[in-house]
Amino acid sequence: MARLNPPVLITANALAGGEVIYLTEQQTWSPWINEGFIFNDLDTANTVMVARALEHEVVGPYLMSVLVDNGQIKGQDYRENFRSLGPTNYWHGKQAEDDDASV
Amino acid sequence: MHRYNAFDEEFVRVRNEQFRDQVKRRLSGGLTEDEFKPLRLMNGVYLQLHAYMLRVAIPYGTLSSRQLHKLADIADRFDKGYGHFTTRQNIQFNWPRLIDIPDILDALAEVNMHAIQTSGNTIRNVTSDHLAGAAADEIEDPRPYAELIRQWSTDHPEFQFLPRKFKIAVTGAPVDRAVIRAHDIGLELLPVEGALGVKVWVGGGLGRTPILGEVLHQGLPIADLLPYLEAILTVYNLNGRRDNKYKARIKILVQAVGIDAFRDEVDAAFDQIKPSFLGADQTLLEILRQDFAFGINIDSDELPYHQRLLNDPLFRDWVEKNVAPHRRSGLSIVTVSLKKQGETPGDATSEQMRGLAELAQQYSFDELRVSHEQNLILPHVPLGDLPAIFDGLQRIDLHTANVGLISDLIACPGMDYCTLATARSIPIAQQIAQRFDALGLESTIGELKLKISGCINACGHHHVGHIGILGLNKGGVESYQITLGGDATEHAKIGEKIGPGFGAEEIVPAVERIVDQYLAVRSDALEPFIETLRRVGTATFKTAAYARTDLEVSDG
Repeated sequence: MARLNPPVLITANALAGGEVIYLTEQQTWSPWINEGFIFNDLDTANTVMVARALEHEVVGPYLMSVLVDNGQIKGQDYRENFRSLGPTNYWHGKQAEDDDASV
Repeated sequence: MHRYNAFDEEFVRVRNEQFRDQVKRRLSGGLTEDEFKPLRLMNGVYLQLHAYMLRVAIPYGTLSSRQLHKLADIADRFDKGYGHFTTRQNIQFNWPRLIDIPDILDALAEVNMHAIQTSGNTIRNVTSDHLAGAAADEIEDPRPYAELIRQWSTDHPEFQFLPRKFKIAVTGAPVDRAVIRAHDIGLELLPVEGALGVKVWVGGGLGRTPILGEVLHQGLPIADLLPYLEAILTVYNLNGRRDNKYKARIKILVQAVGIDAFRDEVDAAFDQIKPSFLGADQTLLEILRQDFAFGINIDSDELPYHQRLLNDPLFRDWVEKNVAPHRRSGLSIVTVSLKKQGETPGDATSEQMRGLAELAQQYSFDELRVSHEQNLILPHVPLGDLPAIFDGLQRIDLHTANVGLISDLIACPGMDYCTLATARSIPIAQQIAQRFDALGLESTIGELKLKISGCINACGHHHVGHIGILGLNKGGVESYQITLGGDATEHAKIGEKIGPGFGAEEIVPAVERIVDQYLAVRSDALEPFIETLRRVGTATFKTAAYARTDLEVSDG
């Protein structure tokens, strides 16, 4: 089993509100990227993603490559960083939300 | 203005009811996303980068005060207190929840608005000259024709599953303010042998393959307008490619078969279709002409206007830049800039929307327009009321005097919101506007159309900007490619790509060097940027753009 480099998270959007969400180690969905579970094995990640794609509460799950820097998870692609924080023209989105925000 | 009749109201009510049920079934698991997606798109609902986005049609860019008040209420109740006016004369809400959208659609229906056909492979919101019915150079008010096309195309059973989306623009003036040659069909109302006719362009579009429309008909009789449009759409529907979405627009078909062969096909289809039009469309057109007739007498005291002009330089500057002559003496057209330097182009807060709606109600015969350049217009303002308008705009921070200048730029939402984007547009727009504002050069530079898109789909019209900027992802970083010499007017032209892209930190200095070069080589202060570019060519501007003085080795 080859170790995946960079590793991946499973991300999607919540159906009712459209919010960006990440699959956690407990197999729940969190709005916070740092709570996302990191997969180092592509086959496992794909298997889990396909299974979770059947849930109707989430929309369009996919694997996103991540980097871990000082314990902080970041998307490898800048698109994912905007997605995990919010737009840069207003202090809206996750960057403006309380830490206890729930999906 | 046109208002829904009982049929329209019932149609929208039933459609909203259907969508409410579709949302309910999706939320309960009765519909999969694959099943639901085409249904939500038919109702203007996208899933974007951070949230759902609802695109609401503003047909031919015409709004009433009541409608703008409703948009403000929706922004407060269901979004984050603002809306984004787009290059297609729509408004987009960036943060609605799916579960709320049926209620939003019901709220829109209360003021004769909807989001139908603002997405999907259908005929989209019909756009027009934002100065329609007011412009001094107008030959015919295009809005009755745009409304006729809107009614014909809405839920047209033949054209709900076209090969690709389809955009129609209509103008009634020789000066093109609706970018008609960048549309699948562009229509210009003009005199033809003593009567009113329509010049028809086809096969225009921006996006990844920018093409300007070609003339399909030099002067169609008005009575043939709808059957001729139906013939064009029929030929496209049958022959447009469905195997490759990037080659599915009508412009690709027209290029593939050639304009003459395409015209032959349309003429043949027209001969079949025309007999089925028995005159109801012309009866409706006559009613619509009356709906849009502007028959109000103006009796305004112009003294306050002239006094303020003499005594207030800020007011004078705003009048010079943002006020245009009206076709009727005693009236004027006010462009309300949504481009305050440093703000997001095209955005208006709910407070601004309400303030503007009140100004329109009090001073502009209850009417507003949305321009494809992402500004709002008060189309019929008595000259004597301009001071009150200016004061009112100051109160809601919408008095920026920059229409037509470099900071009055177009920018799509880019990667701050759009799931298709490859780079951000808004921060680049903000930085360019702030830079030239800080330099104090905007008025010196004069008219300059700068347009920014965050991906090759070109919602920011970068191909037809005097300076166009296209944001791309190059090797994992944002990169910005410059085009020069584009033109969105009746002299439409696709801009020329000047070379490799610039990084996010380098694009604003590169634009500044291009503008500095213009100031250095223009024949005089009256020669606009685009005229200088045409006269001297792009080479000198390319050289300037890539002349990075920051890389020079210092002696120290």
